[in-house]
Amino acid sequence: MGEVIVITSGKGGVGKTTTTANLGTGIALQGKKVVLVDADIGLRNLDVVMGLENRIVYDLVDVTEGNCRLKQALIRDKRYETLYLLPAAQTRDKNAVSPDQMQQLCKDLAEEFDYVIIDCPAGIEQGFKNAIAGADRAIIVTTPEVSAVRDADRIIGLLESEGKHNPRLIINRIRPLMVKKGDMMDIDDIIEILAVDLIGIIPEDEYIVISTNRGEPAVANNSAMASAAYRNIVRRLLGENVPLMTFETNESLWGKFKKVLGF
Amino acid sequence: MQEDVVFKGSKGGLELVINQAVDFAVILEQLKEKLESAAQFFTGSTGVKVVSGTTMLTGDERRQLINLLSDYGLTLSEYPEMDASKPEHGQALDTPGDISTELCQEVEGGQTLIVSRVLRGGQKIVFQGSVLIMGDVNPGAEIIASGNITVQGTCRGIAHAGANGDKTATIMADKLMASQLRIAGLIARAPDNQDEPTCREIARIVNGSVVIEPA
Repeated sequence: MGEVIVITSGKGGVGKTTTTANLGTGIALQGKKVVLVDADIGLRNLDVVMGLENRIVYDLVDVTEGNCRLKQALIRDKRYETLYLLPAAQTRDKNAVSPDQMQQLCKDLAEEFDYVIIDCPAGIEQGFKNAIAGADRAIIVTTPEVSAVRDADRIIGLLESEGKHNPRLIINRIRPLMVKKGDMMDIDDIIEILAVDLIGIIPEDEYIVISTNRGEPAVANNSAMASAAYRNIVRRLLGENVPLMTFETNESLWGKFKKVLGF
Repeated sequence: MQEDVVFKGSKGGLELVINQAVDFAVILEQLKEKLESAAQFFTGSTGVKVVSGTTMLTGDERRQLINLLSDYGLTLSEYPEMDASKPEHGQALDTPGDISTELCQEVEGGQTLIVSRVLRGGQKIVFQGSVLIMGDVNPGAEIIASGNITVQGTCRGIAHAGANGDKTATIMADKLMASQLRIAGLIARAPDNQDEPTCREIARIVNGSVVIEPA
């Protein structure tokens, strides 16, 4: 039996889909069999980020409604053999699926795959309830903003009331320079509020924008900072003990100069 | 005076019924009078659906109609094409008011649904007959027609022509960049790095596969 992991956040735009795509691809790079499930019915994005949009024939709703077999709806990634996507329907809404159906779907998928990674929609309504229904564990994505942390806290509470304890936390889009200056919430502050285990931090990285637009997950890139951070999280997920990334704040030449002069 | 131009209020908005047996110049004249006399009434209304008689207006006549309506703050929102076999004067084609939701129509073959707007992601049109979209079809939008599909604009969504199995159905667009083209039972997907087409293109089945060529 594989493991079902839901990627959730409460707040929108914090990087759930990007994280799903990169973790999934990262795990597949380690030779595991992975399926990504887009639970954001009606506002699907994961297929675009994975560059698989034009391969969609059947979707998740077709599977739950019995219009096709599960295997027919699974799209194999164009780069990695062990990576699959189950896309969401675009012309339907969240009510097209029930938590029970999602639970069954996750169970079926977990028999075939080592990891089932579910991209949860923003919000706490039906879509959220569907997405977490079949999950064994949850990964919360947040950004170092008060609003995102507030929503993450709410989500952790909701997960607990559904009997899903000990979620792991990813803090996304950290800007080390701003943290250093005290302009951005720092990691310790966030963990103190949320009181959950951190599984990784991801620095703000322009390469994420580039890779998302190209439909190629960044994790395979060897030079980008965010890619290395995602690879570390993958290793931690697979049980390795990897120390947290530390960021050298790249001060400008002028800044260093001023320091030397004692300003 | 016989009324050759009639405004009707319907659930979907304002409908304009034109008697096409009459000369177009007369129609325009009458329409102008009507709009003039009831200018107050029409303020605030935006879209007008034309429900014309037997034949289509020519492009030039259409332009004149649009210009006249726009003088009074009205726009032409929908313009159905009538089948020649249905000469019933002034008969309203039952075009549904809300095409943003799934639209299923059971009409005898040979009809064309004209949609004058951009079809956005998540919007779906299902029609028994041909579909003409006067606007773009965005990624994530879906058109399923038992007949042909024509897009006067860029087609980036999914187009399924000949959905009931008609292998002679075609899909045409000013810029055919559909993520998927389906004709009858065949599916063709766009290449991963798609270039912008430089001319109007048409897709049809040739020797059992979907072929795209300049139209």
